[in-house]
Amino acid sequence: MTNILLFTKKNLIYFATGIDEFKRIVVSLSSLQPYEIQVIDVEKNPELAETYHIDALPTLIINNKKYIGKPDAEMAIKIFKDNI
Amino acid sequence: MQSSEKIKTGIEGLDVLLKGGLPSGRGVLLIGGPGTGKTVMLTEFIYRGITKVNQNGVFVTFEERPWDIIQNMTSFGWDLAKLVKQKKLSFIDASPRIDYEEISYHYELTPLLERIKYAVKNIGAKRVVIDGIGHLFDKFTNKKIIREIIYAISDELKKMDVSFMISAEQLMNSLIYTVEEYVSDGVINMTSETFQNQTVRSIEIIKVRGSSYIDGKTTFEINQNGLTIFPKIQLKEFLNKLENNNRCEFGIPELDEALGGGLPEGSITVLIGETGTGRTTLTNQFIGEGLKKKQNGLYISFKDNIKGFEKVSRRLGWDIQKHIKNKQFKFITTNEYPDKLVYTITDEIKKINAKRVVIDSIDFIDPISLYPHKVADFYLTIMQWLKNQGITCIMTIMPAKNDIEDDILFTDKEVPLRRIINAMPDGIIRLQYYKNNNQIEKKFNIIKMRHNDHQKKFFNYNVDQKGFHFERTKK
Repeated sequence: MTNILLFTKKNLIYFATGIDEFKRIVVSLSSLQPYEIQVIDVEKNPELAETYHIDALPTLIINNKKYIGKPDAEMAIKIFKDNI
Repeated sequence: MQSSEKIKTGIEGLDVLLKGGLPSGRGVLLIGGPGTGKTVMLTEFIYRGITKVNQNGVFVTFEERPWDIIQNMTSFGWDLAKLVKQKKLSFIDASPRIDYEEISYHYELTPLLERIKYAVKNIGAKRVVIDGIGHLFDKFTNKKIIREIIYAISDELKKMDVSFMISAEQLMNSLIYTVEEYVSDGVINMTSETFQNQTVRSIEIIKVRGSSYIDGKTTFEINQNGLTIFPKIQLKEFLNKLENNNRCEFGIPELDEALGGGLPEGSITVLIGETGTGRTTLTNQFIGEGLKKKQNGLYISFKDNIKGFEKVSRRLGWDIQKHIKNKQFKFITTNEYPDKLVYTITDEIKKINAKRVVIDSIDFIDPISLYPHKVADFYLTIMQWLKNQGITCIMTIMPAKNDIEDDILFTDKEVPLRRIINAMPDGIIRLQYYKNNNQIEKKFNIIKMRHNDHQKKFFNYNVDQKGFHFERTKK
């Protein structure tokens, strides 16, 4: 089971594009492995930001590894494939 | 910015330097190299805030993990884990990690702000410390974003009326400039220097907007209580209690007579003499005679241990161990730096309520000091303090030359000392030896003695098993 988390917030300037890329990542990964996804708004859940030690937005967490910055689907998928 | 009331930091010496504390809802930048004590200072600010001032605190760490901080601080007796459990303290863990990768230049650092805000609200914190904010620059590449978040955090803390301290390494000039110019209302500098195998730590307040403070470098140490700062003792009054005409005798009849009955009570006398002139014997008799008269004594030596002094005492027939046990006498050997020495001496005097004090020898403090002007400060403070207390004190010193005709008592190096010694002490006594017909003769004379009718001539003297005594003058 792959855990995928996206930390973001509503008024983040990278919000829309981030979510779009995130969807693409999720779709690509779904054919590979079972997964669980979660999108977390840090303004609503600051305690989760503390738990996961999140400093930057957006942060994508795939299996405990953090990817900071606006996600780029191709890159994220490649990283992910390299890691399985 | 409106002026706000000062709130105690709870760190004792620091509140003295800050003349009462820090204005509330402001930020202070703490700069200093590695190992200067920044983390201890931040932790103590938080710990004292919770335990003494009833202000909860949030500790944001960009350096050590919270658990390491909790562990390290137990050596000061600070139980941070308990405070976390009681919801008086919260950690924000932003310590360095390797489980991340920056995949784009497009991000913001607002989660830091959100986490701090959440923690502050959650426990009702009035204090926040941020340790090692410079690590943000190691962690992230977008400097503009880093600066923005530093402004945003401090803005938000000020809005919430939270007092905060941010630490940064001295080397990060551009960061310090940013924080100092736009974020902080005050700057405190911590330094650590090694001098003759001694580490001397100093703290200096560089600015506090809209508030007065004591400037200059002040020595501090890190001991089992955390930070102990030694601010210069500010004497509020300058008393001179010499008018009472009481005398402190040596118990040496001819000498006491020459002095007009003994040293005036509450006076300070400088005793000039080379090694071998009988300084130790004379000062020993001064202390011994005091003890006979129920006047407690303190002997401070900058170079010798108690052994030699004890030997002389035994020869003169008094048991120092008995008096030490009864808290009537104490002998201390110390080579502390001047800022601390004032506290050591005054504390020891208060502990045993000493009425007679000997400091041996005052020229010895000069080479042990990193800051010569602090030596002058030390003497002025200690002498005035002794006078205020009405304590009779002898300070010994080696002459620059052992020449009976020579009036130059001090070498050029000792000019500050000379200035003080000319002004402050009430009396100067000199012991000298010189060659006469293939023999060594010893001479005693009183150079000056305020408030006293003393004899001006030279006396020949001897030191033997019974102590110090004048030779019968042939008439």
